[in-house]
Amino acid sequence: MERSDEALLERVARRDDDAFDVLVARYRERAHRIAWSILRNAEDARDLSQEAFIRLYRSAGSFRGSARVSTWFYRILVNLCLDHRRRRRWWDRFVDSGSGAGDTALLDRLPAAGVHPDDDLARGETMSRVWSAVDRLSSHQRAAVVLQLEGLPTSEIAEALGCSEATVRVHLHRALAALRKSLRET
Amino acid sequence: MTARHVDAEVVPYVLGELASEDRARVETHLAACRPCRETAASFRTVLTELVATRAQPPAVHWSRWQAELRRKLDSRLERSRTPPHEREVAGPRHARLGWHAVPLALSGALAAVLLYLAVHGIGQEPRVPQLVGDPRPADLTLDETIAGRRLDMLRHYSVVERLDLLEDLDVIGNLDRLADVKEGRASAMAEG
Repeated sequence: MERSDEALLERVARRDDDAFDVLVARYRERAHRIAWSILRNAEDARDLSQEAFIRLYRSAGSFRGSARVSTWFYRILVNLCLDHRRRRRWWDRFVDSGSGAGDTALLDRLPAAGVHPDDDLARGETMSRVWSAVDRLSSHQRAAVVLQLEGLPTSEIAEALGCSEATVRVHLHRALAALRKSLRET
Repeated sequence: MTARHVDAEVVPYVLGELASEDRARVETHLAACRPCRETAASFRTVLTELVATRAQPPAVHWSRWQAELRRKLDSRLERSRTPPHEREVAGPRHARLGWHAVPLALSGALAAVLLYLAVHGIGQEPRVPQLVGDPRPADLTLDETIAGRRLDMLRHYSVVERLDLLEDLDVIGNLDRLADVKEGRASAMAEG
């Protein structure tokens, strides 16, 4: 029988490792994909998605049930990713400026897979153009876009980002306007 | 003509999140307002592009990923059971702190260099070391000291200009004593 996230989390709060493994198996792919979409770095995505599950395990007892478990978990994950991105930004600027070190990072940031080997070059170029523009969005705009593409409704994106629905709409509006502008310019 | 633009509602409209009443109102507006209609259409195009070109992360070996997660969780739980004074000696937290300390150490080193340059200045003349019993003021530079020594020659210029340097080197070497000799003669004459 399929157990609800809430029931599983209750058991995790009592340190039930089997329940934790079920929750991890349920959300790990999505968590990893969200982290990767925000960070565009495979190693960071792996570390931070794992870190989000560790935090879920340790703070399961503090879940009050005011939001869905998935939304609560996404909030933990997105906060970790945004904090990491903020910390990394000044360091990247310091280390990468004027050196060739940015080249490998760029490869990591470009959208991977999704394009099959027989897809045409033009499609690959469009993909690169679109996601390079996404890369230039502010952290919150980018997170809002990523979560929207994950199929989360605005209310859940607001919960995950810790802001109002109106703010999420503003983030999305600005993100789409910026992307439209970037795509027209290229 | 429509009353007001529907900027705030374009996104929820495109995402299909508006209630039917609001949706009908927005559609009425869009039918009459070209800028808003174009905004909605372009947002829809961008969203379609995003979905169509959506990137997938690199493939993950999930059993390995989960084993790693388990290892991290166990070590974290183990650490939380260890008293803090024992925890700081070694382990991942210590290693992580070391890594995070790199930019901190670099910033510190940079600040130290800037402080040194601010205090000692850039490209200043070297200071002449002050020896014990040296009557020179302590803050003289090398050039100032050399110029000071040449002042003796300027003071006795009337003597110096009459000397043939090759023949009277010892006179030049004893210019300091010239004043004493002159003073001695003057006092002897006064006494006489």
